[in-house]
Amino acid sequence: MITTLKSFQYFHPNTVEEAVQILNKYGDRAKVLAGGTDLIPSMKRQKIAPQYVVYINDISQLKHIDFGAEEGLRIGALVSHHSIASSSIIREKFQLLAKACNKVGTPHVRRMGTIGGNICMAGPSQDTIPALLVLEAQMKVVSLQGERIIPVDEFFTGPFQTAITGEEIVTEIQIPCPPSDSVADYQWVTKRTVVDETLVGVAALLGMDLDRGVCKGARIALGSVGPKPFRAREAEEIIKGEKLESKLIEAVAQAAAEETKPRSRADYRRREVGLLVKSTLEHLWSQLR
Amino acid sequence: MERELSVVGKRLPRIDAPAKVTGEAKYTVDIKLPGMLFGKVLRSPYAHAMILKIDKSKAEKLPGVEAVITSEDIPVKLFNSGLTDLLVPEEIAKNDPRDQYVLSNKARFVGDAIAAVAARDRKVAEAALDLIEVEYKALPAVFDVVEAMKPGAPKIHDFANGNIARHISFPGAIGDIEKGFQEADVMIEETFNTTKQLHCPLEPSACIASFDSIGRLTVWSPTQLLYLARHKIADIFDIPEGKIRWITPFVGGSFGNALTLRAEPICIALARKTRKPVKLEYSSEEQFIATQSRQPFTIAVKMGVKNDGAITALQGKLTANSGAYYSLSGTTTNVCMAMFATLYRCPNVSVEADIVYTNIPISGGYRGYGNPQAMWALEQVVDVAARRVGMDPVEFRLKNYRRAGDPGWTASLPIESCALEECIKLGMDKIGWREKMGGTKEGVKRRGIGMAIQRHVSGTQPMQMTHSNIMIKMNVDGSADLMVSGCEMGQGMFGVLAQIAAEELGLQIGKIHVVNGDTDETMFDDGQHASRTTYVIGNAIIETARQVKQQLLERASKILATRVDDMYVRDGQIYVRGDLENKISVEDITRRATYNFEGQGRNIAGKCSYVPKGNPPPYSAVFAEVEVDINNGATKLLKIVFAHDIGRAINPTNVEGQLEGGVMHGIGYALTEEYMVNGNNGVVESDSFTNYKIPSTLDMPNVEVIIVEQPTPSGPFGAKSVGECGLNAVAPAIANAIYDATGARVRDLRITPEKILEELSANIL
Repeated sequence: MITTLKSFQYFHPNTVEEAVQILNKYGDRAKVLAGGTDLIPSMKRQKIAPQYVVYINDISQLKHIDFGAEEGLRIGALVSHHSIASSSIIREKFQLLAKACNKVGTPHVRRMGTIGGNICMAGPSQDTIPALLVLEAQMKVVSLQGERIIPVDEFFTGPFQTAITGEEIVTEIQIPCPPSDSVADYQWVTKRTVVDETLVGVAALLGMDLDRGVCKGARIALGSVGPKPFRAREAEEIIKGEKLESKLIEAVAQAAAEETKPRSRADYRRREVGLLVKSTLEHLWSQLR
Repeated sequence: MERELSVVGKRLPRIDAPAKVTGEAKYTVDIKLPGMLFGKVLRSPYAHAMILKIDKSKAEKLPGVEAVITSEDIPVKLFNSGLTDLLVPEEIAKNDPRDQYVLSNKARFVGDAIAAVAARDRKVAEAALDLIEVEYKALPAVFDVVEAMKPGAPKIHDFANGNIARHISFPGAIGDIEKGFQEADVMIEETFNTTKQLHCPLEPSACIASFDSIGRLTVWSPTQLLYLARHKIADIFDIPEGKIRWITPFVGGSFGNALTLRAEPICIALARKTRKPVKLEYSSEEQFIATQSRQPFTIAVKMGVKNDGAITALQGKLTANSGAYYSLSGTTTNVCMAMFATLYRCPNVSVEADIVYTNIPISGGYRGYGNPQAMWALEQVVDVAARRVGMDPVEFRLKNYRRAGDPGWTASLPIESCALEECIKLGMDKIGWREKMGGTKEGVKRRGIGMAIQRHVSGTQPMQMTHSNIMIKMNVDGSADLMVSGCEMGQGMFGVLAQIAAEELGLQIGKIHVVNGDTDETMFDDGQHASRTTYVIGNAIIETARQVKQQLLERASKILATRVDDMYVRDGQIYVRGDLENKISVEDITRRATYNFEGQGRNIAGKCSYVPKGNPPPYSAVFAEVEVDINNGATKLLKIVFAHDIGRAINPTNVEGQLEGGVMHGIGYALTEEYMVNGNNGVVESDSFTNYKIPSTLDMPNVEVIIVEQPTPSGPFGAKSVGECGLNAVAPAIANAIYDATGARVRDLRITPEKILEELSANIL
């Protein structure tokens, strides 16, 4: 019911170095403000009331999209969902990430919200995360003590929880080039309306052994059906070295559904996981053959 | 011979559009007064609790706080926050409980107003809320009507045994229901549940109240019922009514939400205490929990039908969830019962209703009032009945519907006109009914079509007192000021009334200036409710315009040396019939009338009090086409065809807009909107647009509106109403289409994929 923010001290560093100095001083009492699409509503509703707010959106170092055949894709943490979704290189080589970013929120949220902010919120239903999981992204994290690289499947530790500390910020998302002869897609259903939270999200990447005509391997990530988005490893195992015939796809879909732990509408979400895994794999397999 | 119309029937642009597009249009929240304080309301965190003690001393000491009020500071007068009880005599009105204080002395839902603050700025007001110390004693709470009626359930109001606020037997019951059941070849028994839908206007409730130095109160607030709001406030606060000026600026959408008092009583109480102007704006969350919503019903239906499709008996047993207070529950229930009982011909009809208190937010009236609830049940039962006797659902309806000459709501006012058959015929062609109905269904994605009909009202005659009082004054430039106590809440009232005035006066549309919504400037009107504006106010304007025209013609007759009866006014010119050269402009007449140097000076003007003579019901036929995925139960809406019996479209674009908007509300009611209250503690979980989902344009199918124009005798230029009609029958049309596609009959709103799957698996087993 409250609409006014509690008072706080405000910082607006222009460099990563300044930002981490401030965070080093205030740690968990500070909150990092990027696009603000989640933080500001939470503060307005007084779900959180940080003493210090560190606005990092003026840091021009973190707004890059770089690509090289060797090093892969490097996305600055402050790149908006809209910029990712409309980047020609990402649309060409990382199409599922573009598609996932284009699902986030509304057009306004996509222009304000940043990829770094999105992953640091770490909500179980956030659309970027399954895509980053199957792309095996890693996060570059910086603090006054230096930098470290965290693989995506170690980054998320629970609902709205990550492996970074209050002294650190994510500066870059690093995504290796997908394996050759691979295809990937993200599919989802929403809770009720077109513009709505994702009820179930499925990202999948299929690698093909063209000589043998079988699937070399698969990565399948599920969103909104557990405490955090996760890789469905058992389902992935079934695919390795196989042709994706309908019986096998059914088995994969069922295995994936069994790996989920939905909190609400559990039966329906599980059923939907099976259906979405199936339709995603069918779609990808048809592209490969 | 039908007269040729020059303004009415034209697709004119909205006359309020420039002000709204540029931001010039003023809404209540835009108004700022010197020295104005800001109000905030402290709301109960408990669904049901005694208030043992309130310590406001700390809040009062906070610098900037000017007043902290509780139930002890306000008039000890119970009232009903709904306003339409003022439209029936006291001996009827008193049947509806008066159960609310301005601030509550016992918490009855999470969000009940317990205390309020006025402070020099918003932040201070909010900070002061945190300093008010309330000692509650939590009581057991009940959220479900069945639980609430059980012996030993928590008692929410002392007078209401079993939490039953009121039992109503439909006064229009006829025949012998048991005999009707015995005569039937086929019996259908079904139970339906509807949901607590929210109006979701763009503008949350807001009010500004200011007493001047001689104690006269001015109120700015977005209400649909200006004069009734003033009347009730005068009574609650014991202020002579002439000492209250009530102004309604532009209203940012309402859909029935502003048929009750909302922020006004608390705001006025704060202004009275501080003797300073106070603004109280509800936040979006307060709009969700502390105003009112569509009343949820359980409707148990029993219908008897002959093999030839004749209905022999119709019985309804209704249970309405009133929420914590009564508000508009009585009138909503009455409308629900009447719509349910009188859409079809049937010799034996009985409807009974219990209105039950629970510890959830207040239910009231919402676009369609009780009609969407009634249609959700009835129009599905009719679909079931038609199929049971082997008739096409359309043929079944055509056989049984009440039509022109049949009794409407009351036997005293027969149905004046009805173009339902034409609506059905055109709608069937457009949706492809004959080709698509009942085709074989195979595969994962199954298509189906369904339809439903509705009949609504054009005002409240003869159920309630109703009259409109209009003034038209001519300016010397030949333009007219039209003074009317209505509100423009997005429905397009300004344009429609201006078109009617322009047509009857013989002026161009740009010559009409609408002055509205200010009790100092405009006369009594019962307000914007029951889809009455075009029909009732439109007719009042015609009568007033005729007075004005008579004065213009009398003056022109002297100048043109022609009899009044031989002249007419068109496009601002007064012509002599059969002689186009012999004319004089209206401007010439009005100028010479006012600046009259022959001692005949007069401001040409008219006023009238108009009591509607009829209540011609508009009918609609809604057709829906859906595609249901039987794997996941998801429904995709492919198309809605909406054919509406308007009588005459004063502005066809506006009619289409009203209907498309109504359809959107209907789609939300059917498929997306769900008001979630936590079953353990009564906390409203749907308190924002994040978790209460209304459809967006992306959720809308192709909507085709068909306007059927068969002018109704008593309507202004033949017009009937449209405002509420768009949503009444949309949900059952969709449900019937889902049944046609899959065989799944969903009886409880909202239609979810899970409910469809459950029905499907039950059918397979």
